[in-house]
Amino acid sequence: MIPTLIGITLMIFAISRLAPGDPFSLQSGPGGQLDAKTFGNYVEQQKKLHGLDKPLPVQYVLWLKNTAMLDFGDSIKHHRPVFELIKERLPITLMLNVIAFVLIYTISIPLGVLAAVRHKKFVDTSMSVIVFVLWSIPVMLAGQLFIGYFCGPTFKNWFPPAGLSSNDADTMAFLPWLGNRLWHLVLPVICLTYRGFAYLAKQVRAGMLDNLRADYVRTARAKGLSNLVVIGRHAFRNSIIPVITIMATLLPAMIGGSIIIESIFSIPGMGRLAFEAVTTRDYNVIMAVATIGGVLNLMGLLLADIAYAIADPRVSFEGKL
Amino acid sequence: MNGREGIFKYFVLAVLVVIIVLQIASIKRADRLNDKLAEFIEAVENKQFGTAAIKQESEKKAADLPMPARIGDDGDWLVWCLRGEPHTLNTITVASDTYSNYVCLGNVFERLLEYDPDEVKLKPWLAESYEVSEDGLEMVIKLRDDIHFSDGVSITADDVIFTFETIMDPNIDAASLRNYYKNFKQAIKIDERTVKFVFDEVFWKTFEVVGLFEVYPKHIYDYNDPEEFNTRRSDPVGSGPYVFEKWDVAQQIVLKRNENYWGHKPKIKKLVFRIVNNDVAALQSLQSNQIDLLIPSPEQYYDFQSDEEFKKRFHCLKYWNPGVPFFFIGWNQQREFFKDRRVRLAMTHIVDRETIAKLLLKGNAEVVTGPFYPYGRQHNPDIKPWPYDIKKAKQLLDEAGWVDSDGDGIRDKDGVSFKFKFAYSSGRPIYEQIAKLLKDEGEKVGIEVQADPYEWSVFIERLNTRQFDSVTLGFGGTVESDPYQMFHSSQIEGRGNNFIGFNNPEADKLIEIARRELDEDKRYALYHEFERLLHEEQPYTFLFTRPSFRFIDKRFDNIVIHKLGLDEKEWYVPKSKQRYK
Amino acid sequence: MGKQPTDKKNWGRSYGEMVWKEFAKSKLSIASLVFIVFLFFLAIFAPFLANDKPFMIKINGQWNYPLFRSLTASDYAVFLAAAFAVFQLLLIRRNKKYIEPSIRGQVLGRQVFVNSLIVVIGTVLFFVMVPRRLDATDYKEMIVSGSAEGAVFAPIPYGYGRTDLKIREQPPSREHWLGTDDVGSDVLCRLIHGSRISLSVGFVAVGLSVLIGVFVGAVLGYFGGKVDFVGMRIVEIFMAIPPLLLMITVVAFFGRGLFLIMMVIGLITWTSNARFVRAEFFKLRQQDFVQSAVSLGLPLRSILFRHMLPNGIAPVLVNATFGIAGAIFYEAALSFLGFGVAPPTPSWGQILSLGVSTSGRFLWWLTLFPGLAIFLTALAYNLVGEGLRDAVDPRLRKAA
Repeated sequence: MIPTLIGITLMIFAISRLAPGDPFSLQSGPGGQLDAKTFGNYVEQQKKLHGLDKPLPVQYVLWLKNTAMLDFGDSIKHHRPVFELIKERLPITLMLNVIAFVLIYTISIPLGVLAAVRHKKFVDTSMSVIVFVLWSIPVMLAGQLFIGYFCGPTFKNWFPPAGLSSNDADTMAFLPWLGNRLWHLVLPVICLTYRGFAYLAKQVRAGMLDNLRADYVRTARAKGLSNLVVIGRHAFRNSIIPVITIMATLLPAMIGGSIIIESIFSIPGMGRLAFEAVTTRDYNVIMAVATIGGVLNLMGLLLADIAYAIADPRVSFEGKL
Repeated sequence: MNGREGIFKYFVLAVLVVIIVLQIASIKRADRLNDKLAEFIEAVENKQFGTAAIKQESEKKAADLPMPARIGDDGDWLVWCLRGEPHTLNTITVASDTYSNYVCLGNVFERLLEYDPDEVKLKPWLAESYEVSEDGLEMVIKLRDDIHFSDGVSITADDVIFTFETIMDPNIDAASLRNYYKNFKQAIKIDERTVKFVFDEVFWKTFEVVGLFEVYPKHIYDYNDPEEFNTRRSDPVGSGPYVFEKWDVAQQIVLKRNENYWGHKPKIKKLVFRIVNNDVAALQSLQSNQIDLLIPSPEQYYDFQSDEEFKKRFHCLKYWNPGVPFFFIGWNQQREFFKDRRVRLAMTHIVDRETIAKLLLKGNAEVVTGPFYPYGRQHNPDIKPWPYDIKKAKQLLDEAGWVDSDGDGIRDKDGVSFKFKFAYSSGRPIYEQIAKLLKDEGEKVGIEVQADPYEWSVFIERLNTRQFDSVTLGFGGTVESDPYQMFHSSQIEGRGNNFIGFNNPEADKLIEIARRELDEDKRYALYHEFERLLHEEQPYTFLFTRPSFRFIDKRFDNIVIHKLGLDEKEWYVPKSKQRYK
Repeated sequence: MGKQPTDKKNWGRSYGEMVWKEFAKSKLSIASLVFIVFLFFLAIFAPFLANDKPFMIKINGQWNYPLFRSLTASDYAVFLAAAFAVFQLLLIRRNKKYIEPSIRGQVLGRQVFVNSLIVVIGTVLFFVMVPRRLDATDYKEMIVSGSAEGAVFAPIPYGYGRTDLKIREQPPSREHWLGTDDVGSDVLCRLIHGSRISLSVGFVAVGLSVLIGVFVGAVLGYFGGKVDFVGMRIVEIFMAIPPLLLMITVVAFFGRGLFLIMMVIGLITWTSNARFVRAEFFKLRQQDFVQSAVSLGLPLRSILFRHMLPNGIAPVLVNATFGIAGAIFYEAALSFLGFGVAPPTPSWGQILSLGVSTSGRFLWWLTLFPGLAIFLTALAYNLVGEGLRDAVDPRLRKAA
C-alpha cells in the first residue's frame, strides 16, 4: 500500500510540476499593472517564499517527509494550511458519498433480486429498461435539467438550486435544520446515485440469475425447501460476493464524479477544492487531494477484500497472497 | 451453516455506515451551537459599546461627517451572490481580487480619501483635510479626531504609517500593490493626527494612491514575522460600518453592522455573501429568495429586463461607472504579420464591433476606441470607431503585400501563409464567441485563424513569455487610468504588460509627459492625443465596454445610481417588508 | 485449403458465428446496432449532409464543384477508412463461405492487419498531398444576387463554423430544424459534424485503452509471481486516482487538443481491461493447449498473442463497448468543465455546455438535442455491450 501511495504522489507531482504556468504570475496577472522589472523579482521572491526554487527531486522528498508527518504544507491561494482546508471539505464530500452509497446498496440489491426472481416477467423487463436508460444519462445533463426545471419558477420551485443550507439555517432548531439540510441534499444525492444504482442493480440481477440456475439451487428446491429460503439463504448469499467487489470500483468513480456535481450544485466539497486548485496551480492542495483520494480508494479496495472474506468464508487471505 | 452470520455482518456494516453519517451531521451541529454561544456573548458585549458610541455620535454635528445621514427603517439583511470565493480578506496581500473587494472595501476597511460618488473627485473621508505641495512632491494628510476602529481604539497617524510600511515591506506578499508606491520615499509622522508623504517623482496618480489605501489597525495587525501578516487571511478588523462575523469556507461570508461606527450607521444589519458558482443556479437562487443581489450576465439581464413578472419582484439596474472593463484583441507586433500597421488596421475592419455590441451583447455595450472609460473626461469623444468593412480590409491587406498567390484561398507573402493563432482564456463565453466570429470573418478575407484556448494560468504564462500571435482579454477600468504599463516601450522586455510589443516613440513621449502633468485639463488633452495615436496605429483592436448590471430584490429602497455606481450603505428595507431578523 | 463449397455443411459453426447468432436473437441489440451504424453513416458523410458549399454551381456559365474542392485531408482519410471497413465486412462474409473455421481467425487477423496498414498509409499520404483550402465565398448570396445559378446544396445548407449574429440563439424553426447556438451556427449541422468528434473520441480512446490493457494484462497474467505483484501495484496507482481529476489536471496543464483528450482518456481507463485480461490469462495458463505450446518451445509472443489472446479477448471487447459510452461521457464532462476541444470544432459535450452554463440561462434546445445525442449513443453502445456480453457468455447460452 505504501509503495502504491508513493507512486500516486510521484505521478501527480510530475504532472503538476512539469506543466507550464505557476501560481504567482497568476495572482498578479495581466492588468495587475505590474512593472516589467518588478515582476521578475516578484515571482522569484514568491518562489523562494514557498520553497519552489529548489530542484524538483528535493522538493518532492521534502513534501514526502512533511506528508509523512501529516503536514500537507500551505495553500498558495488560500494562504493557510492545506490540512485545514481538507478538514472543512472532506466531511461534506464523505457525507454525500456515504449517503449515496447507502442508498445505492439498499435500493439496488432488493430490486436486482426481485428482477432476477421474476426473470423475463414484467418487473424484470421494465427494470432492465429503466436501468439502461439511467445508466446512459450524463450527469451534467441530469443536474442541469434538475436546476432548470425543479429549482425555480420555470417549472416547479421544489428544491434549492445551490449550497448546503439556507441563509437563516443558523437560527433554526435541530429538526428543521436537519430537514433543511436534507432538502438541500436531495438533488445532489439523486445525481450522485442514479448511475451507480443502475449499474449495481444490473450486477445483482446477473449474479442472482447465475446462481438461480446453478445445480445447488435446483438441489435445494428438490429437497423441498421453501422458495424464500432458497433465494434468501442460498442464491442471494452467493451472488452478493461480486456485488461487494464492485464497491471498490464504484468509490473512486463517485469521488471523481462529485467534481461535476459539486460544481453544478455549488457544494463546497473535495471535488471543487481539487478543481479550483488545478486551475490556480495550488500545488500543495492538488497533491493533498490526490493523496487523500488515493488513500480513500485504497481503503475502499481493502474494505472490499474484507467484506469479500466475510461474505465468502472460502476466501482466506493466506490463500490469496 | 454460518450463512445468517455473514448476512448479519453485512448489516452491521450498513448500520455502522449510517452511524458515521449521523456523526458527521452532529459534529457540524455542535460547531453551530458553539458559534451561537459566542455570538450571544459578543452581542452582550457589543451592547455596552453601542450605548457609548451612540452618545458620542449625538454630540457630533451630522453635517461634519463625510457621508450623508442614512434614512429609512432599521434592520434586515442583504444577501449578495458571489460567483467565486475570495482568496483572502486581507486587502493588502490580495493582489487583485474583485470578490475580496466586494466584501471588504468600504464595508470593513475605510480609506483616507474617497471619490465623491456624484462629482467623481477625491474628498476627505478618514482624513479631515489634505494638502499637496506646489512641486507635487509632498502631501500632508490631517486625520479626523472622531474616528476609531470597530473595537473602539481611535485611529492615529501611527496606524496610517503602519499600513504604509507594511505595504512597503518587501517580505509582505503585496508586490503588485507595491508597484503603485514606486515613487514613494517615506511617510513622516508630524503629530498624532498628521502624516506627511514624500515622493521622489511627480506623478498625478500618486495622490489617488495615498488617498485610496485602507487604514489597518496597528494594534491588531502588527507583526514580528512577515509570514504572520501574510497568512492572516480572515477575521479582518477595520474602521468601517460593518464588522466581520464569520466565513463558512466556500459557502458564505457574513458581515454584521458595526454598532460602534464613528459615522452614520447604515440601516441594513447584516451583509451575507453567498458563494454560488453556477450561473443558472444563481439566477434560480435569486428567484427563490435565497439571495437578494445578483450580478447577472448580459444575456440574463436582457432576458429579464422585459419580463414584467420579474420586474415586479426585482430592481433590474443597468448603469455605467468607471470600473467597467474594456475588451480588446491584441496583435503581437513581434510577429511578422502584425508588424505592419495596415494589417492591424485590416484586422480591425473585419471585426464587426457594432453588431457584436448590438446583437451579441444585446445592445448593452458600447464600442470603444481606446483604453479609457467612454463616459469619462480622459476619453477623446472626437474619435469615431473604424467601421466593419470587408472590402477595405482586403484592400489594406493587398497593399501590405498579403495576396493569395497559390490559389488555396489563404493569403501569403514571401512563401508564408497568413495563418495565426488566437489565444484566449477558456471559461468566459464572450472570449469563445469572439474567437468563433474572428475565425469566420478571417476566412472571408483569406486569413486562417486558429482558436487557441488556454486555461487561465497557462494563458498568463503565454502572455508573459510572448508565446502568442494574437490575444483577447478584458481589463478593468478606473476613474482615470495610466496607459504606461500597457503601451510604453519600456514594458516590452521581461514580463511587462506591454505584451503585444507596441513600440512607438511618439506614444512613449506622450505617456511620459502626461504622467508628470498635474493640471487636469492639460493632462486630458495629452491623453486625447494619445488615444488618437492609438486609433491610427491599432496595436489593439478595441472592442467594447459594457455597463454593470444588477438584479436586486424589490424590498430594498433608496437605491440611487451615482456616477460611480451603487452604494449599498444607503439602502434600507421598510419595516413591513423585512425578511430576516 | 478446403475450397469446395459442398463441404460447407460439415464445417460446423465458428465462435464468431455463434456469438452473432446469439446476439441477433435480441431485437433491442439489433436495433441498437442499427442506430450505431446510422451514426457512423452520419459521421462519415457529414460534409455531404451539412455544408454551406453547394455540390455544384454554375458561375458565369461555368460549372464549379466547391464542396468537393473544400474536402480536407481528414475527410478523405475518413472515407478511406470507411471504405476499407465495408470491404472488411464483405471479406468476412466471403471467409465464411470459402475458408475453414479452424484457420478463419488467423486469416481474419491477417486481413485486418493488411487493411489497417493500407488505411494508415493512405491517411498519411492524404495529409501530405491534399492541401488545406480556404473557401468562404457566400454561394447563397451569389444565387440571390443572380451571379450564379443551378446550385445543388446539401440537405442542411450551413457550415459548422459559419456565424451569423443576426440569428443567434433561435429556437427550432423551419430554417434551422434544431435551432441556432450562441453565435448563430446551425445546431443540427454542428451535431452532425460533432458526431465525428464524439465517435472518434470513443474509438481512439477505447482502442488505446484496450491496447495498453491487453498488453499489460497479458504479461501480468502469464508471468504471475513477482511481475504480477509489481504490475498490479502500478495498476492500483492508476485505479486509485479519481479519473476525472487526473484528466482535468493533464488537459488543464497541457492544452485542449482533440488528440490529447483522446490520449488522456485512453491512458487513464486501461486498468479495467488489464484486470480482465489478467484474470483470463491466469485461468488459461493452466490449460493444456497453453502448456503444450510452451513445451513445444514456441516464442513467447506467439504463445501470448496467438494462442492465449483469442481465447481471452471476449470479455475485453464487451468491456470496450461499455468503455466507448464512458469515453463519450468523459469528453462531455471535460467540455462541461471548460476543458473540451477548441472551437469551432463541434463536439456534443461542447454544445451541451453551451445550453446550460455559458449564458446563465436555460436554453432548452441547446440542452435537449446534444443531451439526447449523447444519451442515445451511450444507450445504444450499452445495449450492444449487454447483448454481446450475453452472447459471449457460455453459461447463459447453456441455460437458455
